[in-house]
Amino acid sequence: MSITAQAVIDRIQRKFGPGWEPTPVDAFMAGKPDTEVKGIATTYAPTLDVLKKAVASGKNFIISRESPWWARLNAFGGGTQFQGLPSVWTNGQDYVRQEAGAAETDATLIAKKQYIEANKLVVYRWFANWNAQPVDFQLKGLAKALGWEQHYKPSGGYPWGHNNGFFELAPATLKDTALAIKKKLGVKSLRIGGNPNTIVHKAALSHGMYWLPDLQKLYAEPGVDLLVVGEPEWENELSLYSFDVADSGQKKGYIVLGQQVSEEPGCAEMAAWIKPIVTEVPIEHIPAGEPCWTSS
Amino acid sequence: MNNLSRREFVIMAGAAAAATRLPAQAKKATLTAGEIVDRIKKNLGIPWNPKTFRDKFHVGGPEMEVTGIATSFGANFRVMDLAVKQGLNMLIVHEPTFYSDADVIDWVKDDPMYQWKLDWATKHNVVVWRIHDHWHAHKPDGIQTGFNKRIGWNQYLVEGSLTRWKLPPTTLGELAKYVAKTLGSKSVRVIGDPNLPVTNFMRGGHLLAQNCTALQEPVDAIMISECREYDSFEYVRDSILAGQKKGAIFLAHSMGEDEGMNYFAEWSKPFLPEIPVKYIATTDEFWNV
Repeated sequence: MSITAQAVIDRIQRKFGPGWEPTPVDAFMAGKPDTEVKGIATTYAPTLDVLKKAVASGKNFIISRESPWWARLNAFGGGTQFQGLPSVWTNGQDYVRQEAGAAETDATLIAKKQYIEANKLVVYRWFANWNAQPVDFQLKGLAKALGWEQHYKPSGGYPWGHNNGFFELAPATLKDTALAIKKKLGVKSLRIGGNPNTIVHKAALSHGMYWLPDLQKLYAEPGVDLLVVGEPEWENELSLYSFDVADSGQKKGYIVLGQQVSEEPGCAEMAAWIKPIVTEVPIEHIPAGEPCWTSS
Repeated sequence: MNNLSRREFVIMAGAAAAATRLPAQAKKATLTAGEIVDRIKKNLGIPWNPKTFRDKFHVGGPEMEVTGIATSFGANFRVMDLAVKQGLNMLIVHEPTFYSDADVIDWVKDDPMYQWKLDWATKHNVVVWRIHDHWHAHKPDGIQTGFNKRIGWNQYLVEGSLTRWKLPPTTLGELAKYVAKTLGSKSVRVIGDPNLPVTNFMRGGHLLAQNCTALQEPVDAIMISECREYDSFEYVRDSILAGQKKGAIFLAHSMGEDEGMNYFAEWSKPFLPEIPVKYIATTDEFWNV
């Protein structure tokens, strides 16, 4: 029994059900869709290391959250889209992120393309439609990784829905809570805001990049005294908000996990989601790992 | 709130005490915020872009009387509070006040943090004016000039550049430590081998394309103050995985630019002799464990 990469995506779309939207961030990013799949790896980012691990374990189809070519193209990710941006900012156009990427002659781009071609790999990026499901599997995966599932206290609405990640934790200082998170996730480079001695007990959890409307929704939940997030859209705008909250006298903490750290566990959920519908080949999650270390 | 009320009372009491001494210094000049901005525009040496949505008043307006100026990277509440305590009621900052680049009030008008901050600023007679685009456009770039004064590498600058250095041989790990210590940052992050030899070093930018270009220059490592992790982090990581002997040091946005507003205070003092002009560091409010 053989299956092509395109057939895997067709099955994913069938299981997804109605409402799958064609987007530039749910698409084949490398390789030929009619390639026969030997094994599937899901990951946050198809780094050269992830690709090599996939090849070493006989897998040739990578389904990833981010693009192998780094640029996010014209897509918003994970967050609520802004409406009505000032025309001075958008030059009168609808606001899309026009992010230029690496040049065609870029040495890293060329090396990565060559590796993918030499090993006949196929990379499909599954992003916006994965996010569009009623259950936010990125959130659920992160909660599981933190060991917080049993502390889940949804705020009405759809359980495990987007921006509905609230948790009642055992009261502890911000510092101790951060240390516990660091240990549990096995990461190096958390960034924290607020008074280390503030006692926190109700966490709002979010993943990936967040925008102002996300932040407002998370802080608006009654009793929230800890924000645990992926990456602020901008530190000078959104981290500023959390610093102002703490500095204005509210006893609230802020922990920034990092984009990869906050998104990788959800990519394990992705593998688990696909497994029942693709039985012909092995499928596993290959984590990209934390990209950076801390020096201070 | 009790603490805040008490603090406000102390400030008001201090202001009252100062007012009673005022006759002795009755000739002390004051300036309006508008007069200050006019002098800044006149001294910048570049044409003013009237279309800027950043470089304008974000709290208060030109008619307000100014007792002193605090310059800083951000209009963080922390900075506002320190400024008011020192009797400086005008903040000249590089970055937004109300949580978006254009300080779009529509997005925050019902936001409790916005309302609280605006009320506090109004109550304390605070005026906030932003200079972002024009301070970068100043020749030389005011932000980078200030950063360079602090980081202490001016003797290593590659000729003709403000953002590229030929440093005495060091390693990526040592360099990151030096940067963190010199800037007073607890959130410096690094990608690459700590033992990587570094001598040719330059700054990247916030955006992926800038960092691709910078990393592919004949440099050993680059330094970035805030970029997107999903693109620039992964590009740097893949470059290293592809065998390139490179590294990158990532600073908090404030750590890459705060000193630029220290330089603004120094630069503007000579043409604002009537009132005190002080730099109040935004600092890196991030810490780690």
